[in-house]
Formats: sequence, C-alpha cells, structure tokens
Amino acid sequence: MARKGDPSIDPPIQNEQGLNRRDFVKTGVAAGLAPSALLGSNEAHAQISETQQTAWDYEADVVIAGGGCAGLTAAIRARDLGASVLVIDQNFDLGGRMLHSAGRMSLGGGDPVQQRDLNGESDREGLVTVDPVENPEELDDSVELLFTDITDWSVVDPKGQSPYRYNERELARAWAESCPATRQFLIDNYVRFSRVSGTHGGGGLSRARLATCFLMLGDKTDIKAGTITAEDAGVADPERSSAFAPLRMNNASRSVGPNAVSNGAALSRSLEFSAREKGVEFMLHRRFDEIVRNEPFAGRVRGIRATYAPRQHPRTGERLQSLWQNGNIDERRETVNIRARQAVILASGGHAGNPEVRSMFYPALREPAFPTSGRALLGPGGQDASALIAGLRVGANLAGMQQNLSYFTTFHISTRLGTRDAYTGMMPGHPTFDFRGSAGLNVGNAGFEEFIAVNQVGKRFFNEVRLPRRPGPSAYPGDGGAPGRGLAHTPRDWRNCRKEWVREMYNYDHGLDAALALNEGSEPPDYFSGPLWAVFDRDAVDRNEWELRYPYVSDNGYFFKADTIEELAETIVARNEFQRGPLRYLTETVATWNGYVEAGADPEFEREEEAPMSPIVTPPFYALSIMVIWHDSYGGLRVNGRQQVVDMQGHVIPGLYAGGEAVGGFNKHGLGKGHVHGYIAGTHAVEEPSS
Amino acid sequence: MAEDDTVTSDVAPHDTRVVVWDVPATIECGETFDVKLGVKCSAECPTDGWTVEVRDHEGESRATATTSGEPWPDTAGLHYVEVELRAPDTAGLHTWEARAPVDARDIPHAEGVTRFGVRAVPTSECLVTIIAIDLENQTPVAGAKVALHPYKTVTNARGVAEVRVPQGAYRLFVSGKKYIPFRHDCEIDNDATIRAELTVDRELSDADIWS
Repeated sequence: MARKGDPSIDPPIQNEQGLNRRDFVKTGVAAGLAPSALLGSNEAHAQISETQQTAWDYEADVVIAGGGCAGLTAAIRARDLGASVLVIDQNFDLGGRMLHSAGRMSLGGGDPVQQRDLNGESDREGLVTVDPVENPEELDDSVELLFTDITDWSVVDPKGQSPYRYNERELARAWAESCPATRQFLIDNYVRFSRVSGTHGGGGLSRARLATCFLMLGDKTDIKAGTITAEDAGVADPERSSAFAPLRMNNASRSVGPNAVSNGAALSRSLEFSAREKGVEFMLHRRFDEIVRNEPFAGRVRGIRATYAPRQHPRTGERLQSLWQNGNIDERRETVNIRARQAVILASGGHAGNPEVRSMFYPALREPAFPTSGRALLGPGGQDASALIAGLRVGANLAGMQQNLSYFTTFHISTRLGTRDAYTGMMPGHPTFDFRGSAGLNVGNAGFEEFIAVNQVGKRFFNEVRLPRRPGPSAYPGDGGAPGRGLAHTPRDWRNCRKEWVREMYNYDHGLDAALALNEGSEPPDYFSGPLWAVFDRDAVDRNEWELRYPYVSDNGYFFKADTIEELAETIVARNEFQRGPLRYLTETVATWNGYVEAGADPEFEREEEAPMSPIVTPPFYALSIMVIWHDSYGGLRVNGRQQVVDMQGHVIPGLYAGGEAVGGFNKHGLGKGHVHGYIAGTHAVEEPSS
Repeated sequence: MAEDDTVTSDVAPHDTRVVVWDVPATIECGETFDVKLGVKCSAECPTDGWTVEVRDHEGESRATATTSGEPWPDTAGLHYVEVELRAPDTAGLHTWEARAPVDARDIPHAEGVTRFGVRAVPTSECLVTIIAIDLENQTPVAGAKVALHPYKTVTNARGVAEVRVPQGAYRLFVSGKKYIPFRHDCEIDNDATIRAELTVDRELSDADIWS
C-alpha cells in the first residue's frame, strides 16, 4: 500500500501508449509551453503525440474543476507556487455558492484575525475601527484546541445528532493546522475580515473563530482599495441587486466600522480579482464530466473532460457574461480534454442539487420540486454531484455520507414563500434573476401563524407555526447545544451527551418530515410528496402589509390568486410544474380550518396553544409555494490530509485532489471548510511530479 | 346516435361557489350585524343579479338579496351583496348557511351552499385593556392582533386595545406585525389592564443562518 502523500512511492505513471480505451481519441499532447503553459485551443487540437491516446485540447500544470471557495483558493495558491492553472466552471461567472453566501468564515487555531483582535489591533489598512467584540480569553486559541473541538465525540446537538464525532481525523488535523496559514493567505489576496464574533456550525464550541468578509462603501468599486459603490453592494435600492453582488450586502458597522458592508461577494470578488491578476485562467460555461486516468482504476490522473453548457438568459437567449473577463478562455466546442501536468483538483461542489444522489440519504428528497440553495445563480449544473460521480468512476472511495444527516439544518423549510429559488434574497439587477422570476415574500417565523400549509392534495400536515423553526448550531458560545456555555464548555466530557442533558436541550420539530411524507397524491414508483402551499386570504395580506407584487411575487407558477378557494386549487393544478394532481381536499380543508377558528381549537395540530388563529374567508384568496431546501453536502469523496483522493483500497489516486463540498468526512459548514481545503490542495498539487 | 339522427348528451351543470365574509367574530345576542355574500360560477358565467339566501341554524330564511353589478375589489368577477342580519337570542356558536339557489337560467348551474358560524355572546361586563409594547425599545405597537377567544380586535396607534368580555378564563394572544406571539392565560372577573411586551421575530438574514 502506498504511503499517503508521498508522490515518490505512489503507483507509477503508466505509459498511455498501452491504452486502448474506446472513448479515448487517438491524438497527442503538446507540452512545454511557456510562460502561461496553456495551449491555445486550435494549436493544441492539431498536435498529436505518438505516446498518447487522448486528444488534449488544453493543458496546464494544475487543472481545477470548479471556481468556488475551494477552487479559487487552490488556484491562487498553486499559481503563487509557480504553477500554471486552468479553472473550469459550469456557471457563467465565478464564485459558486461563495458568491451568494454571507461571507462568514470560521477558522481558528490562533489564526491572524484572532490574534489581531486578541491584541486589540486593527487590520493593516486601518479599516476595522470598532473595538474587538470578543474578550481576549475567548480568542486565545490553538491548533490543538481546534483539533480537539472538531473531533469531539461528546457533543450532541439540539437535534440529537453528533456533528463532530464522525469527522475524519487526519482530515481534521490537517485542516486545523492549516487554518492560520489560510487566514493569512486570504488576507494577502485582498480579503478583509471583520472582528471575530462567535463561531458557526461545525467550527467548535471552545473559542470564537468566525470573522466576516467586508468592503467599505465608496465612490467606486476598487478591490485593491477595499471599496465598493452602494449600487454594486445592493444598498442603494432595496429592490435592486447588482452583477457584482447577487445578494444585498449586510451592514457591518458593528463588527468593522461605519460604511462597512459584508457578505460573500466581498470574499468571492476579492479572490477572483486576485486570481485574475495573478494569471489564473478560466473556462466558463463548461461542465466537468469526467476524470481521465491511465486506467479506469489504476495509474495516474491525466486530466479531465468537460462539456460546453452555456447559460443563456431565459428571455433574450443571450449567453451570460461573467462580471470580469480577463483570463477567460472563450471555448465553445462541445467537448474538450484538458491535460493536467501535475494534478487535477475537484472543487465542483456537492450533490444537494442532484435529487437522485441526495435521495440515498433521504428518499423523500428525490422530489425534484425542491431545489438546492441558489438555484438561479448556480444554474442546473450547480451542486450536481459531478465530482462524486466522476470520482467513483475512477475508483475513489466515499467518506462521511451519513454526515449529510448530522448537520442541524442541512435541509429546512424556508420562510421565503412564492418562489422556487427560496434560499436567497436576490433582486432584479443580477443577470440570473429571471431564472427565479420572483424574489419571494419572506414572512419570517411569525408569518406562519397567518396561513395554513397544505400538501399536494390540499391537506394540512403539521402545526404551521412550528414549520420554520430550526435548532441552533453546536458552535461557540454553544447556546443550548452544550451544558457549559462559552468558556465553560468542556470538550470530550461525557456530561455533554448524557441522556439527561440531551433530553433537556433537545429542540427539534419534525415539520419538514411531515411535509415530505407520503400523501394521497403520492404515486409509484417514487411516491413524491409534491409541492407545499401556504393558503391565506386578503385579510392576512392587509394585517401584515405583505407586498404581493413584483419583484416579490410574479406569475411564475409559485404564486396564485383567485376569487374562490375552488378556483385557487384549479389554478395551481393548471400552472405549477410539480403539481401532479388535484388539490382535491383544499376546499374542505379551508372550511374545516374556519370551523376550528370559530371553535377556538385545532384538534389536528393544536395551533391554539401557540398563536391566534385567523379564518380564511375574505376574497381574493392566495397560495404561495413553501419550499424545502437541501442547502449543502457533507458526504463526498474521501481525501487524506493533503486533500488527495483515496481509493477503496486506501491508496491515493495519483494526481487527484479534492476539496470543499466535493469532499466528505468533515461536518464543518460553509466557507471555512472549502477555503482551507483549497489552500491545502493547491499547496500539495504543485509538489506532484510533472508529466 | 339514434336512427332518427337525434343527438343526446348529458350536460353537467356549472358549479356555483358562494363566499361569505366579514362575519364579526362575536355578536351580542339579538344584535344586528352585516355580512358580505359573493357568488362565482366555475365557468366564469357573470353572476351579477343572482339571488343569494341566508338560512339560520334552524333552516329559517333570514335574508334574501341580489348580487350587485360591481365585483368585489381585486377579484376577477366575484359579484357580491352586503346584507344585514340579526344574531340569535341564544348565546353560542350557530351554523348558518348562504345559498345560491338554482334559478331558471340559460345554462344550468348547480346550487351553491356555504356554511358559516355566527357566535352570539351575552352582554360583556368586563373591560380588558391591552397595552402592546415593543420589548426592546418600549414603544407602542400599533396594529397588533389581540385575541381573547372568541373576542378579537387590534391595537390602535397608541398600542392600546379594549375588549369587553364576560367573566371567565381566557387565553390572551397579542401578535402580528412581525412579533412573536405573546401568550397570557388569565382569569377575568373585573375590568383589567394587561401589558403585553412583544419580542420582534427578527427577519433572519442569510448571515444569521449560514456562511
């Protein structure tokens, strides 16, 4: 068995002359191009090597599938270390989920931002002007403590699950050791961090480790200067997003200072700017399909195969353009083969957008009506399990697949109604808004007392008031998730999980599961549970001053208005793409509900215990979609501490790395995982022998 | 087809849908109140000028009216009429019904019937004053829903609502306007004032939930 991480004793690279694979076209590779080391498509296509059987259209030292948090970080890191780097992405723009995230990054281990705040200092540009949020002792962290936290067997969260127990230990150790260096690396690539405040899911319970990425409002958008215009930040008009930031940026004055705004755009655009500045090259609209390996289950990984998948505007048909174009390769051939001289890094995301794959964890979520987060932004190829599928084809092992179920809100019910793309608040102004058609109406938790929620046959299924509630994460300061709050938390203490404590702090309603349950409209073979609808009347609209107008709702099959309940049911059937049969019980359900309201008691779901009940009687009547969202992925390819993909015999697959949501075995939510994975992968990819 | 070329077919009548709204949550026994009655055809036949009848819990006709030419605002064609009714003399929840009977029309329509509750209550001797206050900034909350089942009202601009109720045990809810419901179980045996301090259900941003 090869020792992991030692390229010198990895299985030898086989001579591709001996290959006779049907799907490899006989052609060759061009090598030794400098300085970019990337071939122009025409030249490369024409060159044939007698020693190769794959037509290589492009080549680079490091080829990365996916331009999100892990991919961009890996690209810059590898480029910094002297490699030529080509990133492909299925979307029209870079950033992946990172671009629509909140830009909150939980690292730790004594990272530079923790140190800065611990010493009461500002950032090197002097942009952070508020005092540290956390006390010095809350920031006094170490790699050892971080590693302890993220492998802590004893923590059980308010959903009764164990977020840290099943983490891959080698992966966790490498991650903890690389957190300080990754934070500094990001700072060196134009990323600005707020004061540290708390931690978030999967980041440990012992110390505060989370800082948010920000920019300062200014007269122009200038990444080097750290400024952004109000228009680009989406704060000039509450109903207008920008191509720069698909989500309105948040006010960060409390954690940075006046005029600071934060979210994933501050992080993503800063890294993208740096990557383009340093000469990383990008091929967009290009879906990663396949890994090219010497043999199906042996030998070195040589490159990837990728398909042209243009994203076109739904109304104009024009191909969408990335915000910035420098470094882009405009390649429109159907399929291209891209050779990686040193390594391929898989960073194309998880599988939350692939109902067939995610159904292995929760069969009811094979229901295609419910998308992953950011569907409009990412497009149909987002989170499509491409890395997992391609990895399995070359013998990769999987890790942490069960951890999809051990993060407290992997899937949840959104409080944003009336849009299928219910995760984000993107407004018109971003090129992908028309893919969602409406921004949705965010009614908050409190808004759920104003309606009844029905399934695809028009029956109620749960106490509506409880549907959107979510348990808290197991993260510093540990509110409700551990018996000791903040610094009083004791890692690896059996009291964290003794049954008396778990009984006391358990806090999860299973409304989502009722929403996905079999019902009278579920038909074989999939028995889909179907869409969910919030049904209310004009009085509810008036009471809450809900703005049922564009861009919040539109005539896109997720918002309906009718003169009678019967008409409402008929209209939904006619115009929603996933409503597979009649809402045959809706009229009866509404009449029954109105009777409960008159009687002051809801014998089915006990609504009278928690909130006032309002009748649904005043026309017109409304139905807005309620969405179950599978947000992200925690299971994926197995990797070692160098982010090398490992096969089912425990051997490293030479030349293949992976990071972010493509990887399993680490129940850490969000950006912190992906960036550190990218940093590690980029570091070690360039140590691979050049072939 | 018959030998004499006569074509026969069954014609299903259009459905008639009756909507009843603006029924007060409570009406003192014997007092009058107004309700609105709307009529709609399943096939979009115009329903202005149609007859609607209200019958009480004993099947007695309480009112008959004709829908107007103007549809209810913001509807595609729900023609309606407002009628005055008188509550029963006996306290309790009574089930009445509104009917759009089969009339002689060119196109057959099935009769439409909708039931609704009429809650007749005795004279209420206790005045309950509710003061809704935002817990965080201690400012009045206007427009909050107040429910002491079956009595309902909303707070005014000063965050105050007054409800007259008979003596008894009640569960008070004050909610709405993006506030988490305030719940208070109480025994009312005289005039009372209840201060409801409301906590905002802060709209979670993505930053609150995810990174």
